[in-house]
Amino acid sequence: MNFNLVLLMPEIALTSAAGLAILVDAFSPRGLSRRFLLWIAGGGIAISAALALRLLGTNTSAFNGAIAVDDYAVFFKLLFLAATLLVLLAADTFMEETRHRAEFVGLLLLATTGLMLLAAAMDLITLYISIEISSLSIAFLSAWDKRGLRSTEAGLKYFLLSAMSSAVLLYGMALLYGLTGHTRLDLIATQIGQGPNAALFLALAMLLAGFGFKVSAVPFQMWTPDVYEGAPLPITAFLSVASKAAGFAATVRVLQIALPTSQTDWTVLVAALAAATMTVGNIVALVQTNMKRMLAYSSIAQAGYVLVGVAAASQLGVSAVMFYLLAYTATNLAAFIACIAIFNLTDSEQIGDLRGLRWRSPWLAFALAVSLLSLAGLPPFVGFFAKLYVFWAAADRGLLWLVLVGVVNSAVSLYYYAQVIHDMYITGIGGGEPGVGDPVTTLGPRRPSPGLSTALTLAVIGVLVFGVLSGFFFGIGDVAARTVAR
Amino acid sequence: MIAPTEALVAGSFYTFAAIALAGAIGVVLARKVFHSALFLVLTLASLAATFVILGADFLGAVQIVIYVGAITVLILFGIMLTPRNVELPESSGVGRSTAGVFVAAAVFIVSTTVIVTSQWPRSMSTPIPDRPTTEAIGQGLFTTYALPFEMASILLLIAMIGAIVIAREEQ
Amino acid sequence: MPQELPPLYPISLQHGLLLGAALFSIGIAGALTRRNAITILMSIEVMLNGTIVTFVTFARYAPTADLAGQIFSIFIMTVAAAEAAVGLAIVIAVYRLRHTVSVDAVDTLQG
Repeated sequence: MNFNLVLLMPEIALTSAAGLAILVDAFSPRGLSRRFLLWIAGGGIAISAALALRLLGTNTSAFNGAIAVDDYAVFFKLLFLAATLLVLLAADTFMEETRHRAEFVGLLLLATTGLMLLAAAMDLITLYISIEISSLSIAFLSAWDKRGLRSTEAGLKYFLLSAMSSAVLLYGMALLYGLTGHTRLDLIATQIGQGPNAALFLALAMLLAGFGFKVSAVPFQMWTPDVYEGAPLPITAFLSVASKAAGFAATVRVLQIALPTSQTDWTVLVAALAAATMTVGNIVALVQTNMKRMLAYSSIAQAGYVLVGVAAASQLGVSAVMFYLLAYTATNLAAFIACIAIFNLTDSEQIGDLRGLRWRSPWLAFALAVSLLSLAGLPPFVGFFAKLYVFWAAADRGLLWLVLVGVVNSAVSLYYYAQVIHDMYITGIGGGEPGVGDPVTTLGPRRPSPGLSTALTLAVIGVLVFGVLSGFFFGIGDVAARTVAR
Repeated sequence: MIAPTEALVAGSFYTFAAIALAGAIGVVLARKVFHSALFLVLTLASLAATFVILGADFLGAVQIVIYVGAITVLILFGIMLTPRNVELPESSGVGRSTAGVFVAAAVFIVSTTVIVTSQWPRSMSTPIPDRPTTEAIGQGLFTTYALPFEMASILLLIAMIGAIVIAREEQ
Repeated sequence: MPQELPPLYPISLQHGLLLGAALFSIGIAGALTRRNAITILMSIEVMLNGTIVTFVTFARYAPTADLAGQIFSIFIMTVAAAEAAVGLAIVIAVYRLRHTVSVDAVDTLQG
């Protein structure tokens, strides 16, 4: 028995911070102030990150193989912690208006704990429970704005569809258990037979369907636009980056560690998912007029590019996936945080209402433009290098048709990303000068709060720095990928 | 040759299985939510019996306590607190009858075909002899599966905090 | 190649699995075709019970006799209890918003 709690310290620290926030709030007469809650949460995240960093290079498994403590897991833990910190800072304005702030912060930290365990899970039972920890808390957080029907309905939709998808995932796990007699990923790999096996293929399809929901791959994406639109924006940001990245982290680990022998089967399935996801996401994004829905379809398309890397199924593919998720987390957070600030300012979610934004708020327009260009995959931003690595990994494995689909899709996506930038920078009523009828001249008084500005600055710096130092960060991912890839 | 007691056990398994399936169909087809809930109780209780026959005595008891006892009571409370139905809009990916039936039929045909035609490992042709499972499960939960056990407590904590915040009436 | 039909006793692997698969498929049908949130939740419970039956059957025939399948089933039941609480809380919140006359509800109906 290896009950070494040191290996679990990052999760314990974060859970304690969540408990502390909720308990202190419950027993203090007037409730905790927003600032104090942020300090507790930020402190918990910092301690957890420091403890996670200390585990680098440990590369062992703990609790009878229930979780792995390897560099791959540590990489994702740090990624989730950073994303949660930015989301918390960006939730500044939302927390001002909502009740039960301490519970909001607490559930967000517990959701992150679930995601961290998900990235480390080495046993099907641990995997299942960590998925449930994250999705149940995200369902609550999506429904948090109780006065708004849109938010509660978003929570209900997310809850029902995630419960359905975990039942599908469970059936796949049951078949996998039946075929091997084990629930541990490494033991499953030793027992699984060679050669074609219908039951194994069914298990694989069910597992991919379950994970496909989590990362919103087509055809399991139908919940995405509604939930992204209805949930409070900070939660949408969290859902679109941290939860998605964790889904990919678990998918890659299960495929690489438990099912290396049926790689030819899953490469075909994942490649098909990737092609469908990229194409549907991008084409539907073209016709969106609501910024949140556009970003929802854009994030579906982005999941498709990551799946290209998963389909590549090599160590190069795994490191490309990790780098892509790092790039995507920074970029998409920048886009969503810029949107939070802009929506606070303009009180509108329509893309058309972004016209002439650069006259009113040059910094927000710049931040949104940078993140959209990075999402489109233009150099010198990080999104370009991320796509390059993913396509390179796929080409390396001979998936040239998939690379072709990806490149065509990137070109299509440029249209809708550029449209927004065109609206912000070039379209202005009266030949470029801000005029009377210009939507952005009718501003609400809500300037970005300090927390929001900090979060946006950090995310944009991330986009720029990861882009400039892409080789360095890819190298980090490459070292960490060795702990799971064959 | 099947001995009389064996015939009795086998017969009761297939009877309970049939009741469970009928109940499940009732859950899906019943017009009123309340009737669905009653059918669900039928399914869950007869499944508890099949678990016992399949050598999972402790699990059968847990099924009665958690599923029949706690979960259905919770669902009945939910039904009583919402006198009018809470329907989801069709855009949410549910409620499309033909597509739903098609998907379910496809899953049924594929899974049953796989189950019947698959070559299961040779060791799986004879069942493990019946034995008391309670002690082994308890051992497992506190040794091999100690971490998931602790994680389940986080899960229940989340459900508790969230449910209080979300379901509570604000003034 | 379809194998020879297994005997009725002891309950064979295939018969247990067929029960699980049938329950799972019926649950999917309900979850996808019904629109009442609570009925969908109950259909999902039927799906989960299908997987539990599958786990229990496999645990009876598994080459390793460590009861992992039964322990997994206990965890599924625990999660199902938490899920029911979460689902019903959100259903009640939606119900309260839809069936009380408030400014927000009217706003949502319009846009």
